[in-house]
Formats: sequence, structure tokens, C-alpha cells
Amino acid sequence: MHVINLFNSLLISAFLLTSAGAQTLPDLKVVYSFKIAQFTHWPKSIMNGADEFRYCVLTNITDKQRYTFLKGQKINEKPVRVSFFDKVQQNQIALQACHLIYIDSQEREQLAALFLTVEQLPVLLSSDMNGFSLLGGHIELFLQNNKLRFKINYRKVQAHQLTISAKLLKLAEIVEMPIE
Amino acid sequence: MLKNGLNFRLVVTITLFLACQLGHAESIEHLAELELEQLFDMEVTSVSKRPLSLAKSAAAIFVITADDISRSGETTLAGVLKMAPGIHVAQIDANKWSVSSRGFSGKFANKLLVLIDGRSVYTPSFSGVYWEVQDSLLQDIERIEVIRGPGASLWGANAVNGVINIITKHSADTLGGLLEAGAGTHEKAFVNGRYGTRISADTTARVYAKGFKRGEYEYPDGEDAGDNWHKVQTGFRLDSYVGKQDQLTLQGDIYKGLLNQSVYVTIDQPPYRYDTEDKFQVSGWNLLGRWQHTNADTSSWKLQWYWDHTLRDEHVWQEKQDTLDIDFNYSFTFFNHEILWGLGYRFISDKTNGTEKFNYTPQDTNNGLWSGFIQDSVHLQDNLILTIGSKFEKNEYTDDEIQPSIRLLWQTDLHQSYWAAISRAVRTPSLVEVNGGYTGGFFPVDSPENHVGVPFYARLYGNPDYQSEVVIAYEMGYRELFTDYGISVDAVVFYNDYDKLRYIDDVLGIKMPTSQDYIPELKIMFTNKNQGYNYGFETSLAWQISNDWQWHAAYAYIQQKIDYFEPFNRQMIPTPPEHMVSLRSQHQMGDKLELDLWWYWVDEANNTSFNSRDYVNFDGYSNLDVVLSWKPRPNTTIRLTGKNLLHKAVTTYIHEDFIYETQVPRSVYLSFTQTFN
Repeated sequence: MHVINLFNSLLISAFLLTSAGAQTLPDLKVVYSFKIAQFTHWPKSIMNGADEFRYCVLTNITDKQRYTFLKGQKINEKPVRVSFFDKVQQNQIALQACHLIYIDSQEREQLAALFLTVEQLPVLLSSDMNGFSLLGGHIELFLQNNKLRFKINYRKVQAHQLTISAKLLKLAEIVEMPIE
Repeated sequence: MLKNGLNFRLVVTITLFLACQLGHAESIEHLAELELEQLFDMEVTSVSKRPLSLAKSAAAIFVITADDISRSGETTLAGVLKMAPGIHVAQIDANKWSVSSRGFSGKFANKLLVLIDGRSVYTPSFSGVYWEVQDSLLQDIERIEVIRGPGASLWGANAVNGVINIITKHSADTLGGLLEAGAGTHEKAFVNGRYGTRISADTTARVYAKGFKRGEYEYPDGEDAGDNWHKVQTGFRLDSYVGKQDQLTLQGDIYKGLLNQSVYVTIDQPPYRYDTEDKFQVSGWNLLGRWQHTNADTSSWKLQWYWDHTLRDEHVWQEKQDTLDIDFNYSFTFFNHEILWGLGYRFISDKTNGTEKFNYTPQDTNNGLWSGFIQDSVHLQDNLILTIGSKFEKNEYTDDEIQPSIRLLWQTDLHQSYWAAISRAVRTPSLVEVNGGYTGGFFPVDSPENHVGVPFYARLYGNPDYQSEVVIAYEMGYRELFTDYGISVDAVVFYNDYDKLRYIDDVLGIKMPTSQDYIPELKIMFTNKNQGYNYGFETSLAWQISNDWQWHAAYAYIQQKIDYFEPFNRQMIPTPPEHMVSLRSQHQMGDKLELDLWWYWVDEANNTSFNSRDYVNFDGYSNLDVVLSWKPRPNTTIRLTGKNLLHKAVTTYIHEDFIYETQVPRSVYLSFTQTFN
């Protein structure tokens, strides 16, 4: 077992040393948020009429590169299309048409406007912003002991007509339990 | 189970290892294909990376991130700023800084507006910033936006050559505890602490306290400069969401410091000056409230007020100042227009005591300042934004000031943009310039600068008719992010046309003595007769060589020409360093070690002198800071910082008056930081 551990740590070091051009934490968060969406279900009435899965990002940071892996991916059996928005108040209608909105942690000031814009709509709100799930966001990614974890505000998810698979719920920290 | 777990980790690690041999996008794809459980069991390195961001603003903006601050090894706000291109940061002594943008440096550098969370720390009595008392827990700063060029249309007067916006973190982002302690050769000892907590689902808060003791700098002959100092500061921030539409913030700070300085004062007997050890107190507090409201439509508003109190008790300058400020902003969109307007009122009460150097008539003043602004950003096309705006101010000295600007931003694609701007800004008179009195040098008969045949003091008087200094600035910029290479570039050219610049006029001539023991004085007065221009180029480049290694380069070039009013050719405007270069390397070595190197070079420059008609010149210099951080555990950092390593001591600036040339010495310190969840 010691041998395995040693081998393991050597590999980890190798990973760290050779990770030129590889993932940064924000890159990883995009992957995690995508994975979570794969285990979320949107109302059939919404998904049946959609040609694509509209994956939206609210950010002022233009680093499209980290979203390129989404090309060709599917969520709820629909091909993913990524759109970027920097201001909520100029893009209210477009944001209401999103299936998922990933909110950059720097966009705290726009949170209130966003929540009002997509109130009750079947849009999954995901972010790595501290306190996001308590404030009314759905999925909050956070780092704990070098592992990415996530919190789900289940009551809010329910209010937005979304369902989350049991597999995902098992891994989550639940912030607000569903209303029975 | 255990064995399974081990094997599983091994598999994930191997997968990652292989994935990382592939290109960037491919490796992410690999991750996306992992099973849910695998993904969430994977260990990730918590390196926060500088976002390769392209601010969508038509201005020369440079953002200093929390990561940049923490890795710089700097312990002061002023010190951090020198990573921004075109910002000239120099030290007069251990507790005095000169920070300026695009020329006009000095302790009395008056063309740069500085805001901490929207609170102006610009001191109108002398038109500048006391950098030694501007502080916060550096770990709680989210970012510093450094805007070169006029920002007056939004922020108002005195944002002539730049605005520095220091923004602290939301209290929800500083939960948990932090304790830092350190000591070294110049940083004799310091302790920083913070605790942040969630009070309820919607409310978070933090409190912090910090204290430090800093040692003396030295004179060029190696003697101690007698400028050691210490200061303590504490503060808090409370943020609360009320319902869905309102957010409330209340924050405040209180500080007290004891500063030492060695001051020389002019006298009429040889050697015409005496030195005195000045031990003086500075203290202050501020309280700020902010209410942000978002409407269900496309509008939002913000109401902010603050009260700021400062006290200073120097040998040459004694002042108590209270500022009360109320500001209201409203923004809404209307078709393709994004409109922002605001109204503000500021009341400043200043109480002074006369000293040998300075006095005021009257000693106490109360001034009100009304302001309003409107700005319209029109989306002419999807990628073309025109912003027109103006600030309107009414102050008690120069009455109405209009400060308009027009800016155009063209985003040629997602990663490339060009912008251009024309703006007008003013620097309003300081109390000294209007109703101050200042005793400059003494000029004996045999002084080469004495052409009148009797010994005299140069005594400078305020001018009730002093006007605002004016700039019309022309700027153009370009930004691009080369995603394939991990490089972001920013470049700006500017031309500033200045009018009504400060000049010293001998309009009053020699006032002869009325009794035997009275020395004649050359009565001189502030006027606005100088004019001139400067132009230059500033660029910055960030290069993410690998996931672990980033380089940041900044370069600034400036040329300045002042047409001094003849015949009394008194130099009143310093010449900035023609070239400035900064080169930083941020290297993550494994998951436990970080090495940061910062080399910078500042060209020769000069400053005005109140004791002579000549400039005081100082040579160009380069220096190197090295920071080595070790994180034995995720919550623990041990850091060894070496500053100014290339010289035993170097002169970076010389004050206009009463402080002798002082050099910044080489220094090292060791610090220990522990965070708690």
C-alpha cells in the first residue's frame, strides 16, 4: 500500500509539474457545473420545444476557451449552445430563455437583478459565489479540503420547476430541504 | 472499500496525468466524461488565477487583483500601486509617499483621486492624499482599479490624471478567521487579524484589526533618518440582503498612529535652517452606509453616505477635518441606451492651527460642494458603444465646474477592442492656494538667487482668485487577449493639454521691514499662469506561460513640456521619469511553494524645491523584491519577503521642503499566516 501511495504521489507531482496549459480552478468549475446539469431535469414542456440546451454565462471575463469542451456535448438530450452575457439589465429577455446560467463570482452586484429576471422560470442558477445558495441560487460550488463540493438550495430548485437526480443529491450538501 | 478507494484515486490520477499531456480543451473533455462520483472525489489545486479579463470600458484601466496584492510582499496600499503601468510611486521617507499618474508627482501630488469603497480620501486642504493613513486589511481587498486619465465625468473634480478605486470584499467572501504575524528589518513587527461570520442566511459580517511598527530609513550618509512609526487600525463590514431587491452595507474603520520625522525649518541666521525631531499623531475614523436597490424593471439605484474624520498634528501642519458626503445614483436602460445619473452633496469642515511654516486666514473653514452627473452609453451597434457624460459641480471657490467626456468603444471581436476618449477635468484649488500662507526659503544677500540686495524670506500667500487647473485629455487604447498563447495586452497613448497650472508670482514684490528686527519678505502668490502639455504611452502585458507560471510586464513613457510664464521663471512643476518598467514573475512550484520576483526600473526625475529656484534631481534606479511562500498545510502560509534587494539604500524621491533626502533601504521580513474556517 505504501508503494501505491508513493506511486500515487509521484503521479500527482508529475501532474502538477506538467500541467502546462491545463485546467485552472475556474476551468474545473465549468466542468463541474456542466456535470451537475446533466443530472438535472427540466420540465418536458420546456425541453420538448427546444432545439438546443442554452447554457448561459454571466461574466465580465472573456475567457471563452474554457467553454469549448461543451461543443458537441448534450444536456437533457439537447446539443449545448453557450452564450455569454455581461449585464443582466440589458439582456433580460435573452436570459429568461436560458436553461442554465452560470454566474461568475465577481457578479455579486447583479445578483438581485438576475433573480428578479428569472423568477419562477425553469432556469438552473449555478455559481461559485460564496453564500450563493443561501441567497436564493440553486447550486453553489465551493472548495473544501482541496475538493470541489456543491450545495443545493432544493427549495429554490423546486420553485423553478426543476428536478435533481437522486445520484446528484447524494453528493450534495442540502441548504434548504424541499417542501413536502 | 479502502482498497477500492485507493485504486480509484490511482485511476483518477492516471487519467488526469494522461489528460494533461493533451491539449487544453481535450483535457477538460476528459474530465467532463468522468463519472459524477469520480469528479467530485478528485483533488484540485486551489490556485486562484488572474482572470485574463478585458474590461469593457473605454478607459486606461488596470486591475490589481487580491492575488497580486498577496503575492507582492507589499505591506502598504501605496506600494502595491507601482505594479500598474504609468503610476509613479516613490518614497519621501519611511512614512511619506508620492503617488502620481502621468506626471505631477510629489507629496502634494494633486491630480489623482483616490477612493476606498466609494469614500474619497483626497484631502482638499492640500490637494493630495496622505498615503500613510490610508489602509485596510490587505487580505480583505478584492481588487484595486487603477484608471489613468481623467475620470472626472463620473467621479468629479481632481480626477485629472487618474482615479484609484480600492474595493474591499463583500463580507460573505471573508468568512472565517485569519491571523497573520511577521517581523523583519524594516517591518519591525506586525499583526493582522480578521474574523468573518454569517449572522443569518442573508447577513454576513467581519471585523478586523491590524497593527505595525516600522523602522527608520536612512540618509545618504548612512545615518538613521528618525522616521520610524507605528499605527493601529480596526474596522468592520456588515452586508445584508433585505428581500430580493435590497442590499445594505455598513462599514467603518478607526485608526491611530504615531509618526516620527526629522524636519528642517528655515531661519534667518546661518546656516539658515534648524532641525527638529517631530513626533506627531495621526488619527481618524470613518463610517459608511450603502443601500442598493434593484427594481423589477431594468433600473436600479444606490444611496451612499459617509462621515470621515481625520486629525493630524505635525510640527508644520495641524489640521482637523470632517467630511460628510451623501451620494445618490440611478441607472436604467431605455432602448439601446444605458443611462446613469447621480446627485451628491459633500460638506467639509476644516480646522487648522498656524505653525512656523503654514497658516490660514481664516483658520477654520466650512465648505459645501454640490454635484450632479449624467452619463449615457449608447449601443450604436452590438460592438460599438458610445458613452457621453458630464459632471457638474458647484463649489465655493471656483463656482461651477463642468467636466464632460466622450468615449467610444469598439469591440472588433470577443477578444479585441479599441477605444478612444476626449475629456475635460479640473483640479479645484486647495485651502493653501486660496487662503493659506507658507514660509519658504530664506535668501541671504550672498545667495546666488537673491537679486534684490537685502536678505529676505520667500513667503507664499494664498490667492482668493485662484482658479481650477484644467486638462483636456485625448486618449486612445487597444486591448487584446490571445487565448492560444495565454497573453493579454493593453496599450494606451495619451495627450494631455493643461491650462491654468499653478505658478508662483512675485506680484506683491518685496515688503520692507517696519522695525529693526523684522526681515524683509518677498511676497509671492499662487496664480494660474503656467500651461503645458504631456504625452506618452503605457502598456501592460500578462503572459500565462503555464498553469503555474505567469509574467506581468508594464512599461510607461512620458514627455512633458511646461510653458513657464515669463519673466519670473519659477519652476513649480516636477518632471516625471521618462521611462518606467515593471516585470513580475509569479511562479507556483508544486502545491506548497510559490516564488514571486518583481523587478522594476524608474528613470531619473526631479522635483520642485521651495528653498531654491532650481529643481532637485534624483537618479534613476532599479530594484528587486523577492517573495518565497511555503504552504505546509492548506491553511498555513509562511512567507519570506526581501524588498529593495539591489541596493543597500536608494533615493526614490526628495520632498519639496522640510524633509531631507531619505533613502529606502534593503529589507527582509518573515511572516506567518493561518486561516480558520
